[in-house]
Amino acid sequence: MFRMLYRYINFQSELLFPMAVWVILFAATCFSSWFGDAYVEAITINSQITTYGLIFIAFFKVRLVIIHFMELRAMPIVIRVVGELWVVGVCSGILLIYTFVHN
Amino acid sequence: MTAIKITQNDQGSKEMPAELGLWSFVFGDMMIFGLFFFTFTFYRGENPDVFISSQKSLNPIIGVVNTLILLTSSLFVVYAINAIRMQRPKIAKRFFLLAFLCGIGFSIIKITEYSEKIGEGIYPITNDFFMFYFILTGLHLMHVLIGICFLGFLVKICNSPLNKNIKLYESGGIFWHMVDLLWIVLFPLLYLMK
Repeated sequence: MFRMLYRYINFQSELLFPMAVWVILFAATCFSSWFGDAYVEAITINSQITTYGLIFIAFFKVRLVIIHFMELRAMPIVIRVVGELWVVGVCSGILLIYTFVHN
Repeated sequence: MTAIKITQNDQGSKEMPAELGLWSFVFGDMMIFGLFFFTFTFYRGENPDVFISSQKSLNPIIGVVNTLILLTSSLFVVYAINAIRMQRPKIAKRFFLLAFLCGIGFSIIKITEYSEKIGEGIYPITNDFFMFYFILTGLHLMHVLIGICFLGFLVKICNSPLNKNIKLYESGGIFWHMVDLLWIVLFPLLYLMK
């Protein structure tokens, strides 16, 4: 009985957890699109803040994919560190170049 | 949860999904794309007017739809890998096929977008923005096409009793997720950045 219940819960989590991650990714994509376009409609939003927001959301999504879909959270620590460093390094690199390179 | 099914070897240490060589390739590819993202942002800072005015000719709805297609295909791949680990090849085959179709859908939309741009007289030589647009999305499309071939191969071998090598399926999955995450960054850089 308990074993069946355990299997059922385990089966549900196999289906539901990736679905929950996907829902967050889906919502974040729709929000990005709205957030990016909202600037065009309402000029009151600072373009730099909009870009920071868009880049942060993008790398939040990337991290979700790396950790949960690519299963880095269950990996040997070296692999996980490389993945996390890529996210932090590329995100901060883009933001730094965006902030300081101006013509 | 996908991670639950990751097996442990006799010594009790975690076994990584997919082959080590594939991980090296995936991280190497991600590093190269990271450098492309830096270069794009640098040139954008140097010529903001050209980049902003050119960006307006792109349709962000196409970018959103393509992002959602790839995210959905990634979910299908996660389910397919889970099904393989639970030794349910028929279910895995269906999910791999759905991911494969999503990849085809992405490619059709992308090629349609290219033909629209070329129809409007916009080419890679038009300006720096479109040079980056065609090169970055072209390189990404190449990865999508390789991923589609990989997924097609996995659909084909799913029911075969000769293929019990789970790492092969996991490698296909990891590659496809990489294709997805590269697009997640390309989408705001090319279509939305202000």
